[in-house]
Amino acid sequence: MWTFVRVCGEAERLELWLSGAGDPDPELRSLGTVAARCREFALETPEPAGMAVGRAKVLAAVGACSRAAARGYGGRVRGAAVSLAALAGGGLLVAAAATGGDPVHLVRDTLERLPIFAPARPPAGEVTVEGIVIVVRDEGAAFDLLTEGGTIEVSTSGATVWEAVSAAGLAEGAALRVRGTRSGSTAIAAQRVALISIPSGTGRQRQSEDATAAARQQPAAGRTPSPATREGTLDSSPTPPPRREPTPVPTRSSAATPSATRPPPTPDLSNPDRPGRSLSPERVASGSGGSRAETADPAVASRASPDVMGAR
Amino acid sequence: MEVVSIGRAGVAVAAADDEGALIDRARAMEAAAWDALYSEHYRAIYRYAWFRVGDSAAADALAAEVFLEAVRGIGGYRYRGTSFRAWLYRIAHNLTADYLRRSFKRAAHESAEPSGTPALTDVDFAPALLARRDLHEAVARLTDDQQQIVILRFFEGLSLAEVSAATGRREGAIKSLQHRAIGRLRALLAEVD
Repeated sequence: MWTFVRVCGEAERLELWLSGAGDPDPELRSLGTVAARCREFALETPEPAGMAVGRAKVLAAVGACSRAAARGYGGRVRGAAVSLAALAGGGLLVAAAATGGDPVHLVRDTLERLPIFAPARPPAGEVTVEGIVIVVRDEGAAFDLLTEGGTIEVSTSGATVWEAVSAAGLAEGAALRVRGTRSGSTAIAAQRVALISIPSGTGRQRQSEDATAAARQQPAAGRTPSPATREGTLDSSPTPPPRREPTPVPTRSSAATPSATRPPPTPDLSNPDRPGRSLSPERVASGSGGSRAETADPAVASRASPDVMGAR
Repeated sequence: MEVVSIGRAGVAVAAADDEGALIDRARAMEAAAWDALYSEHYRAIYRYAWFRVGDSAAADALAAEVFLEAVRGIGGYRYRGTSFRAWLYRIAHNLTADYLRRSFKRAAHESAEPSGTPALTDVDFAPALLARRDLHEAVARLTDDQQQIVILRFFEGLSLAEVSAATGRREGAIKSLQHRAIGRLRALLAEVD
């Protein structure tokens, strides 16, 4: 007796023959039918909506990786550049306060060259970002960056990232927690970023110069913060949240995690005409505390790369 | 000596040569090469991710992440005549496994009654698609390895040799996994039916 499993799509009925008692070779026959029907079923897969965004991410990443290689950077910096470029290329606005001089230029250059696309979805869960100060903002929804006891309103450019970090009294290497509410590429990308850090110890002298230069950058046109983000996450408290000592998190490159004791950058905050300068003291909110933080899981961190390496 | 390729085998060789050259250009971080690879393989990788996670937005993000991982790892990748897509499938499998693990942890943390399978948000709204969801959920209840085989073999239509290249397993092992997967799938769907 044959067993049928009927799978109904919107327009057609699909039948999977999964077994055939009495058939001389039921398994093979049924497998053949299963294969054919599953392929038919596969044709009903929803069309990818994010193909263009994904392409932008990949091409941005390729460009950043190419520039990093041209400058002689090794795999770790290239990986960081890929991650950051992918975030920005996908419309997720990112800036990284990387330590170590030249990589700062790399990151900044990467960000400068990236097109800004339509906002991606808000992130899922919470992501702990350690070892590198990263600011991500999704224009489409309220999206908080949480420090211990406070929320930082961030804008879309490297300049205001530095302002944010400075105004909040955070040093490089401080931990920021990113919270979101929905699944989407932000969380995945943020997880990726949480696993990277840019090596410190080289070119430190240029660090504050880089920070200041970054702070003076003008955000690109059309990248002003959305009202949805500006509102609702702010209060009038001018007090920066207390600085949080970073908690060691086992990441792929934790050995290269920048020291939290390094002095923070000193951005130029004097330009009142700069759009998106969202980190005036009153924009540093407090008390919106996050809940659970999804720490970068070492198991997760270690999973993809070794296997991928194995495939090479 | 000039070789004129006639027939399918010749075409396959030519295609392999083309892919090898394309990968060389991709290794040199040529944007056009990556664009071509992306256009060629994105949908297949997206489909694989979608079958695994059941959410089109997540599948989109994961598919893009597969290519980003490929950008990161292309320097160590060696083209040996097996399809580049096989390598992408392997990356996709690892990334989707990570994603599902995180989703499960999150669900377990946020819900008193965590679901053992990912939410199938794409099909929940349509009663007509409930049966289809049954198939999807049944596949989701297979083991990680079984899912990989079922999706590649039956949904994507790959041959045993291609699945072998994509998974790094021997064909005999794949047959064995396939046999167990079909048996399990049959039992799960019989419950639904």
